[in-house]
Amino acid sequence: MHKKNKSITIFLFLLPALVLFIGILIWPIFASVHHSLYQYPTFSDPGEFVGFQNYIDLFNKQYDFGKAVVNALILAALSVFIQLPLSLGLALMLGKGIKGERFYLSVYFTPVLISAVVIGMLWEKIYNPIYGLVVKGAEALNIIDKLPPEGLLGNPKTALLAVFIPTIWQYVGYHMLLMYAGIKGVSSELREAAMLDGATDGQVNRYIIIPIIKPIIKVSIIFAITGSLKSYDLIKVFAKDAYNCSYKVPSLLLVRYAFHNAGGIASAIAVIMIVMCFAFAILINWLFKERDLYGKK
Amino acid sequence: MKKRLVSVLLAAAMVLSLVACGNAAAPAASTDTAPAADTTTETTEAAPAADTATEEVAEAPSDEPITLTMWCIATEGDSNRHAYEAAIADMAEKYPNVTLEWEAIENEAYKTKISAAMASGEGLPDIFFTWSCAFLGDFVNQGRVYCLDDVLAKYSSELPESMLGNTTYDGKHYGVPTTMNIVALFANMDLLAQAGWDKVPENYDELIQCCDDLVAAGIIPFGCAGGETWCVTEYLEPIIEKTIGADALNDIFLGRATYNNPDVAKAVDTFQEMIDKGYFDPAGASLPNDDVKANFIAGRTAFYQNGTWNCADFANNADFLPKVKVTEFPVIDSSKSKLGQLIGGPSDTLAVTASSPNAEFAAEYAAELGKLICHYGYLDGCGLPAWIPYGDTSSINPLTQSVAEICANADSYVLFGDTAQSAVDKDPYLDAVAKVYGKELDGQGFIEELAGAIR
Amino acid sequence: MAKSKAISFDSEMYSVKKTNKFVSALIYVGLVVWLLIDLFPLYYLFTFSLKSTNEITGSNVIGLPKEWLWSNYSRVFTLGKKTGVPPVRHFFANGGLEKSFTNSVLVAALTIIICLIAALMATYAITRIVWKGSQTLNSIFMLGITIPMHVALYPIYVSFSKMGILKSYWALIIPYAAFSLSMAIMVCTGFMNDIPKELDESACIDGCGTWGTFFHIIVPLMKPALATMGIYIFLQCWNEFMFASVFGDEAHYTLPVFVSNLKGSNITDWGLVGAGLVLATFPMLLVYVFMSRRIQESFMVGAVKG
Repeated sequence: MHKKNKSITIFLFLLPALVLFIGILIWPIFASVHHSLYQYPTFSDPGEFVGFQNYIDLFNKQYDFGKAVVNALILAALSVFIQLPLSLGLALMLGKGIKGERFYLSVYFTPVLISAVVIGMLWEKIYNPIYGLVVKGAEALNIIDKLPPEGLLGNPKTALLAVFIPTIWQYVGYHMLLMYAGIKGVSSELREAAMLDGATDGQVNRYIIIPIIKPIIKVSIIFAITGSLKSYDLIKVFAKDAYNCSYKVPSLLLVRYAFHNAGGIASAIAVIMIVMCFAFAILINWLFKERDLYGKK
Repeated sequence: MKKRLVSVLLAAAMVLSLVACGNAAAPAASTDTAPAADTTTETTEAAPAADTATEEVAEAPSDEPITLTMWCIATEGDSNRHAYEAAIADMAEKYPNVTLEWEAIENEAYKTKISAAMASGEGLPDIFFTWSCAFLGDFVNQGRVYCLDDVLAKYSSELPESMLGNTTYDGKHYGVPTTMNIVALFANMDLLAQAGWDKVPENYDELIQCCDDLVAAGIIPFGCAGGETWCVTEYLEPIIEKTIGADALNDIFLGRATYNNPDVAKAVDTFQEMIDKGYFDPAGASLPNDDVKANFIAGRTAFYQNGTWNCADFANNADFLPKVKVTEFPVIDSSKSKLGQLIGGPSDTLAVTASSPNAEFAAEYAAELGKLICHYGYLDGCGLPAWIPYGDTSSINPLTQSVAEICANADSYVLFGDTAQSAVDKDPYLDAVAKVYGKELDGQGFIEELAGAIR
Repeated sequence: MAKSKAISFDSEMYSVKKTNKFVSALIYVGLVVWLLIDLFPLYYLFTFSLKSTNEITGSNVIGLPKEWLWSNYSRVFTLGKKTGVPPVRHFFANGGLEKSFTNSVLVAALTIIICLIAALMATYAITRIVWKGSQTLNSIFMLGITIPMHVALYPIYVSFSKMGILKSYWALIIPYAAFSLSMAIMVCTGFMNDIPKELDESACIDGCGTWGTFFHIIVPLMKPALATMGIYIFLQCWNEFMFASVFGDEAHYTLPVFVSNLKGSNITDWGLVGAGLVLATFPMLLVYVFMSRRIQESFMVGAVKG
């Protein structure tokens, strides 16, 4: 009797969360897998069963999905190898305890609070090939010849970079904050002891602080990669109608096909995205487990 | 005199059998092939008749208040905004018991929104703006659109059957056309004069020569918005049409022929050659249409090829209007095409949702509203009227009159590719067009990709 | 690898070194440069929101406005207003910026409430009640952090449209709450583990049942966690764009959608667009000025407590 009561209580406590979690997160995964095997020309009509044809079609040339995935991976790589080191550098500089560190911290974090749509529209103006800040700046510095005449966003070679710059601008502060929190968690005795032993700042950072904040770096890497794989808002603002772009990404195609009578294709993209996100999360966890001799909390 | 000329020209234009759509719903081959003389006389007679006809239709239940909702793309700044506002004001006066709640959504966002709402059948308005042919056809196939046969029958004297071909599926009418537009080449004569041209180039060789002269004079010939791919099609489609001929292009758009046509590849290469020769403003690559249009008005580019709805905006700009002329893109291969083969046709349409609780009244309302929008839109220069014009049309701007002349000499129309092709085929088409402009595909690549993608 | 390096300091490194002046100057230069990079686009945005198109596009690109055009701002308020809505209707029912602002606040507030209630209850069941499988369930919840929201877009759209809630605030609130849930449970778990178990036991002895303990002991002690998570969830909903743009109709547009609609036909009117962007952004920044520490904490806690 008591036991049964307890189960009921547990169930009731879990109920709201389970309803949300299963209804909105878990069920759509299975639904997507199911949808991806059909055509779904309209929302109510599954259409023909096509098996894995949607997946095969996706990698055919016309859908440009392969390119979209490569673009997302490039963005992810840029985030990990450019954005995160930059964040770490800033966090280490601030973490030393310098004058006005709170002020710097707060300002660096500001762009995180701004909607990516606003940032996209602002940077679109900055990139405008005729009146934008970039062009006017280049004119002032007399290096206008070095810029592509299409503007950074219009040139297929620079477009992805042009997408990446506002992303760094926005999220460096976020990762910096996480790392800063970790650095502040390193006891000052440890730091002082090392300094007394004659370690330089660089050595303290390298051999003491970074190993200790490794778990946070791991979290940052996972966030940066999954964030890049799902990036949408900013790119949607830049891409306008999403046909013209050297920076197609999976989510852009997903939204397009979902509402252009190709639900099956959209669902297949969703399934591939989720597999990629999980695969990367597992990969990063595994990479850090192998070498994680210090960072355990 | 002027007024008369315009209406005669228009009447002539309307007689041409407009290309009907052939998507899943069987096309209603343009039925109206009445001789020109008939329609001309009809025009003059129909004009006074129009006013009386409107009175008769006023059979709305005048006592009970009705709320109708409408979605359209006449956002602030859109050329059609004024026509919508004026028409809606007239309707409000006529039907004081009807509240029309209308919402204007930006073009690209609207396409997503209406398609999504149609696919789900949820949250649909009573009346909606749509493009004709495949765009509306998809919704008709989904069973979401109210048939307008009964209502339009009352207007047969004001709305010629030939204007309904693009909104007729399986012999039934589903749309109220407002204005019709074509793609035309706008030229800034001041800039042309700077390159030594005092007239618009009349054939293809002259156009190329003119562009070369412009480039030599440091003026960019064309502005094209790569940010919005439909703007690229406004360049590419006339080039293809004037290379392979209207019938061949129409067959491709309607799925009667594949893209696997070497002449299409040649046309695409022609377009890319023009880009390579620096005829196109590189800054246009990522810009939206409004920016590119503003650049043309500001005198950054000498030509701007786009829909004739732009006449309204150019005409409203008193400084700019005297400089601008409108013409037709010249013939590239005269063995296959000729002047008068145009891209366009009646496309802007109002339709009524089948799920509307007041569908019957909404249909009446939409027909009248469409007529008024057409009327005001024509007066504003937003396009040529699908309805037979009435009232004083002498104030029509010279650009729209030139367009009317072009249409009067029209040989055949091919509807805009993104309207003529179904939603499924449109995506690969626009993708490929974007890649052509971005130089990722050449002519051969274009036809191969599309022959593979479109069944 | 890291271990061996950490232990075997090379002998030459044993000399005592203080941070030298050059390095610390370099640090300051680095910090200030990034400060400027962060602030300059915001300055640019604010100034161009007050300029005429003419100034922005040529005569005065980066300077302060020559003539401060506050009219750009008043014009923003006329945008997106529904035409034909009788004036008797409520001011906020009339579309436009105010409407989308209230929509955003409403959606965020309800999301926070729903998500936090669900998360608190679930966390309680997982951490305070002993049962088999609680840890497994917890790890399953944690998977939710990695699931991209995009996956839900199509299936949820279809099912919401069948349920007829597409045109309502719930179409946004439910997915937002669900996608913040994992993070909320993670943070709540961290906080709840810090509450001594003895409190529950003594409450139990005092005759409080499970529910009593939950409401009278745990919930009040979780207030800091709730505040932290509340801020975090708020910012997530406030800035979300994909669902908001696809699911809502005009009556339910949130601020990011309003902003993206500014692009529509006003794209060449930079001053107007700028004013819209400023109005959508600066209230949040103002709040941030006063609550910076709390807001930063809410972002840190997720990563650190995990």
